[in-house]
Amino acid sequence: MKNTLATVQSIVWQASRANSDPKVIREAVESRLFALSRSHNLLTRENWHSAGLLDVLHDALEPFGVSDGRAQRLAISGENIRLSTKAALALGIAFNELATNAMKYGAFSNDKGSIRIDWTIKPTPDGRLLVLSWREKDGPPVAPPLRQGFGSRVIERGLTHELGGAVQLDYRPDGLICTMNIPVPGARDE
Amino acid sequence: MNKLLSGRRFLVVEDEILVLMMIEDMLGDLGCQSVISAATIEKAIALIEAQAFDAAMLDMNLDGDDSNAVADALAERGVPFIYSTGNSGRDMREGFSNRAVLRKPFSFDELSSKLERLLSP
Repeated sequence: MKNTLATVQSIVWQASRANSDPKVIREAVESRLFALSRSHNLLTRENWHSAGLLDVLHDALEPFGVSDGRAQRLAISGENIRLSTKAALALGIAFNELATNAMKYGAFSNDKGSIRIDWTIKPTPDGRLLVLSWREKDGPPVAPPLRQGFGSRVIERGLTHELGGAVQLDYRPDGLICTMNIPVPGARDE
Repeated sequence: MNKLLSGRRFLVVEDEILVLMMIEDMLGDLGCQSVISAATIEKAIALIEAQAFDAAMLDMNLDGDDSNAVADALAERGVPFIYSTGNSGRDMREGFSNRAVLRKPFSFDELSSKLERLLSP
């Protein structure tokens, strides 16, 4: 609980350092609080044991219109593998940031762009690796951001620091590609 | 301008990225340009064995495990450190009760005054 309060404090701290417009600060804080809240709802339904990757993704993308107009422009394919609560929380934040970016600048900022999210599980000598890619296309031309914002910082560092994963954000002119390599528990934890 | 942490190498052992990012910003505001972080006991100990630090901040609990082994490694090398914790009223471990503890959530002022006391000669 106290850690959650510190997380909320950090969300407010980061948003108010990065912006001066109160409306922008409020929207940035709310977007992340709601994302955190959706992850908590999902994990509560699962008794804080674990969560399915498909469920994490659906809950994270729900406010971005997946249930209405944009559903046809989103393709998701992959097995609903179980994630630790820690991985579910970290990915919930990451997907929220990617979707927010797609709405503002990427494939969901015009009326024809699309996003494809797919993943596979690869065996490694130490266990298993989730290899997930988020690919945007047919959005406006993409340019790398001039400075690293909260979103890219939390995506790249969060998954690396908390999950021991590796993340690559590739700002290709024809669409952002985010590739995540995340160690996941083996079959015994399923 | 010389700030509290100018020129110091600081280790933060904290498993939550959002909390870590805020701590890094706070330490940066105190003049620290060299913040190294670890999320796990193994990584923290490997860093302590390989590098010299002027000060550290250590979460008492890392993903369900206590961080006593990290505290021991810091104490052995004489690295001054403060604890942070998300727990409300946990008893301090014997022999470590004189260590300063930051209870989350904590303010910038609390952090800076605890560090000032930690690093005052």
